[in-house]
Amino acid sequence: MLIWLIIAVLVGLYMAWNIGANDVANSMASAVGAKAITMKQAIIIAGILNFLGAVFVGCHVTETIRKGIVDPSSLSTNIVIYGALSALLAASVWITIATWKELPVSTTHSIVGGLLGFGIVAGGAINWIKVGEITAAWIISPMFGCVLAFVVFSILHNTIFNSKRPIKRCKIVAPTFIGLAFFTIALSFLFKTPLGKNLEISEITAIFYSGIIGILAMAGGYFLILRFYSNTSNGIKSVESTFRWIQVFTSCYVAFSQGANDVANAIGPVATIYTITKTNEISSSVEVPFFLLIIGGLGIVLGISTWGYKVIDTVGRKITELTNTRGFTIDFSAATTVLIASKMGLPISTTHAVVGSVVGVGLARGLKAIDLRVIKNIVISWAITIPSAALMTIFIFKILVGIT
Amino acid sequence: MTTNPLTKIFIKSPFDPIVKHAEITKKAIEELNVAFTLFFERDYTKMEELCKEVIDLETDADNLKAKMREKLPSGIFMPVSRGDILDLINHQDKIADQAENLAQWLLIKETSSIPLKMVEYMKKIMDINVKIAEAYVNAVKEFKDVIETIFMKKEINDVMKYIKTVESLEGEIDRIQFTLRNSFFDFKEIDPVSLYYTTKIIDIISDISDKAEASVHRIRILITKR
Repeated sequence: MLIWLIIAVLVGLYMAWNIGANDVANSMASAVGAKAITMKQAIIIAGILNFLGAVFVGCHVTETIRKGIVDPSSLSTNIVIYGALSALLAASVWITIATWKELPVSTTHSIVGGLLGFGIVAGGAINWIKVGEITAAWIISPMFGCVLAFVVFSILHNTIFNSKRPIKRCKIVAPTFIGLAFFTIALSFLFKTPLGKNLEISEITAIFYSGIIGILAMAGGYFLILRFYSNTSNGIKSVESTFRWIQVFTSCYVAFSQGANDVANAIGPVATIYTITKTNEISSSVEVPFFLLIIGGLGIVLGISTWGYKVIDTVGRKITELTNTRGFTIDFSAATTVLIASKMGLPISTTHAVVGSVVGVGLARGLKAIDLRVIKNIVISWAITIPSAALMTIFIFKILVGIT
Repeated sequence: MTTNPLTKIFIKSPFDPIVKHAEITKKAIEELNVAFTLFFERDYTKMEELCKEVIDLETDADNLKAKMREKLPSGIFMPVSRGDILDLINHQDKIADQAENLAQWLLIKETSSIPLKMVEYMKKIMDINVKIAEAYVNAVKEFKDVIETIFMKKEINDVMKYIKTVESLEGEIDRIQFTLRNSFFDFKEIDPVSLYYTTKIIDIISDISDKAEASVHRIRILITKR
């Protein structure tokens, strides 16, 4: 049994590597492209924040991946081990093929597809309601990101750019968004999490505390802007430069949300196998072991430092026309979308949330040119991924059962 | 190699190349104006050089036009419609086309065929064309700013100012052309081929302003249609 765990940990590490390699550009590319941070800083920030998100908020989605899609309680331990391993293997093989063919495939969709394959081959213990919820989230999340980005950018445009004193307005509007982001992050830490339970914080007090943290962050942001930008000229350029350092913060926000949502893709199935090998039974109450989340975080850091920086660089070069306010809007909207989904335990694609937000800014006429054919390719890849990952899982599962 | 579609969603906007294209056009018209003066001074060697340069500039403009079109795939999403942008590129390119056309007629070097009475008027039209070219480039530059500032009123007004300049300058050329047309039958004694040469040149120089006017009208559509 230990051999399966070792294999699972290695494949999980590879999945985490893929997240780092392909998807960390979502959080870091705009800040690196705008030269708000260096590549080295991006790698470190992304690693730490992905890790923090995974450790503190990653539990909800991990629970869904572990037992929300396929209910393991009615299955034998061996079947669950093979199933989880097959799903993980199939998802990583599929992601590798997609990377090679440059298909915009999401790790989330791959692992969910894999788990569906496991559910089918193991005799239909699939929770279809949950699957329906996840599918709905896949459709809704990019749209939500799009609408949010449209609204945020329109607010920025109407309150700051269209005003006669943009910098003065900026000093009020920018801290408000910082406050909002901190409120959401604080809430994600405290609301219905193990941390919240340990601190014995009720749901209403969680909202209350988060509100206070949000207001404090808003005040902090206000004074920081006042301190650093009190003497600058009253133009659009200084608004952009204010948003440049706020962008560093929103990049962290994306990385954090991504950790909360995506690490589960790599670690969820490993957690299932780990629990079985340790307790020899299928327990659903055991929490995700801390060291597995560390492995996930490490895999992501490895992914960024060995490959992800190239993707960050490519995206960063392409988005030179993306000003700081636009980058901020995309980051803020995508991160909020992903974090909300994470709290609901819904595995979604961070990339799709970012793409939705990009389109939202485009609809608000904030971007000079975007290529909508990308959306068509995403939808097509989406449609191929589920059956491909499912079929591959079934295939690998049959082999694993056959050889043992 | 990556699965991340963000590497593909951002594409280069056509607005910078459009400004560059307009600047090439402006340069062509300025050089053409110098060549035009040299033509009447019969300084053909220098004129020939300049005319060839104008023809080269037109080729540059053509290449840029082709590149711009390639970079406007059907899936592109911009703050303005793709069709309107293609239309602007199409019209703007015709200004340089006419500049090249004139350069080629000047290269025939039949200065003596043109009645002296007409020369002053023709030079005047060409001078106005230079002013039009300058106002036109400014209009295009400001149009780019309109896109960048997301249709800010101040920027729209700036474009409108240059559009009106182009329109009124074109009106001036129209009036000169009217005077010239009225005196057409004063030149009955000139041989028809010479008169054809003269009217051809007049037609082309006034056409340069017409094309510029047509282009600013496209810009007007782009900034008002929201």
